[in-house]
Amino acid sequence: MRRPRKPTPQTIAVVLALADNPSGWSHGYELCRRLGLKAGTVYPILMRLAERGQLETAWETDPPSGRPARHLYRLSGEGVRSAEELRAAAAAEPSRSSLSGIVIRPAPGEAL
Amino acid sequence: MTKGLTAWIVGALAVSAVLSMFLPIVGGVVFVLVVPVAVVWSFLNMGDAKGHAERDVAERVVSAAAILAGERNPPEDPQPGWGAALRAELATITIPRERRRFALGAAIALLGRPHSLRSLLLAAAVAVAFGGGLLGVSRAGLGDDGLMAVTMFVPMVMLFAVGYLCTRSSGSLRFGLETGVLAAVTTLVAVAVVLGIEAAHWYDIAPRVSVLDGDLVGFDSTRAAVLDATHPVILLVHLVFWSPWPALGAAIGARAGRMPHNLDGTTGHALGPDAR
Repeated sequence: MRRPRKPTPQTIAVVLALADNPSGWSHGYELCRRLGLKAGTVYPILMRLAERGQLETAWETDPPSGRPARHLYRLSGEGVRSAEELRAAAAAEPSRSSLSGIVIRPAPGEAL
Repeated sequence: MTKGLTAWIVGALAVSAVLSMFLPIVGGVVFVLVVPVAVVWSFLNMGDAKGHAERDVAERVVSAAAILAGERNPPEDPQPGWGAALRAELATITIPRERRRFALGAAIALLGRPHSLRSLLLAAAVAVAFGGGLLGVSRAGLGDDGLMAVTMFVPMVMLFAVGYLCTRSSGSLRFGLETGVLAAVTTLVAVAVVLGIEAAHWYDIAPRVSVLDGDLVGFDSTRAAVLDATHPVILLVHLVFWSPWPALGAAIGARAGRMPHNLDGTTGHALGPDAR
């Protein structure tokens, strides 16, 4: 039986960033900017989370004219539970920061 | 575009053949680089013929990566994938440097997904089949030309077919390329093993004969015969001759099959929520 792999600091950061606004949709570039991570890091994480059923995806239904609809992301119920577990684990081990220096900036328009 | 690509490849192969007569190394390098360069150039320029010449490098890179990952155009694909998502996201970024950085990351994300076990199994099956066939040919007799006539040219056709058929059957250029390249590597291992075994076998029967070309060489030991047949330069020459063919097969399979003939980057038809 395969043991579940410990999530990387980048995966934890993406999950917690999405968990900051569990009912709202985020897009990939916004996540990259909030976390200071590259697209080559964030998108593979989003792909894996979606494959595991921890992420819901949707296409923007009413994009502004002149640009295509964006792909949007938010945590599924399972993803939210996973985020809660990650938060609890981080709280239980405050001396060992699981984010390894990754700072989650607030989403645009979101108060600190 | 297909005619242009074909003409480019044929022309460059002809130049490399002429060069090989006078400057073998230069000719060999041109020969090896022709097809990969032509394929990459062709994919980076997809869509231009359809009036999308204004696309920048970033968009070309993401589009090419999406095609290599086996995705289709949104109009042809009822469920746009990650390539469409990344192209749509790129369209919202206006700063050129940011676009290039995002495109590079997007290409890494699209092409870096885990390799298919299917590719590896198919490549292994191709190598075992060729190795078995080569062994049979050798045991039937070396003939005047030795085994190199078989090991050099038959895999070219075989690897072309692997690239073509895998791309055509799956609709994924990436799958065809992956399987073709893996098949080249596994076949090289099979060739090395069989040449080594057969060099030892033929040394016992005819010590003066080289299994490679059937010439009279005169080895003084089994070890010398095996090392001659499996010399790294010999194996490298095989790889040089084989390497263009899986890429060419995959490229032609992509264009002849179900793959899109253009990628115009118009990803923006809203499909509504597709929550999984």
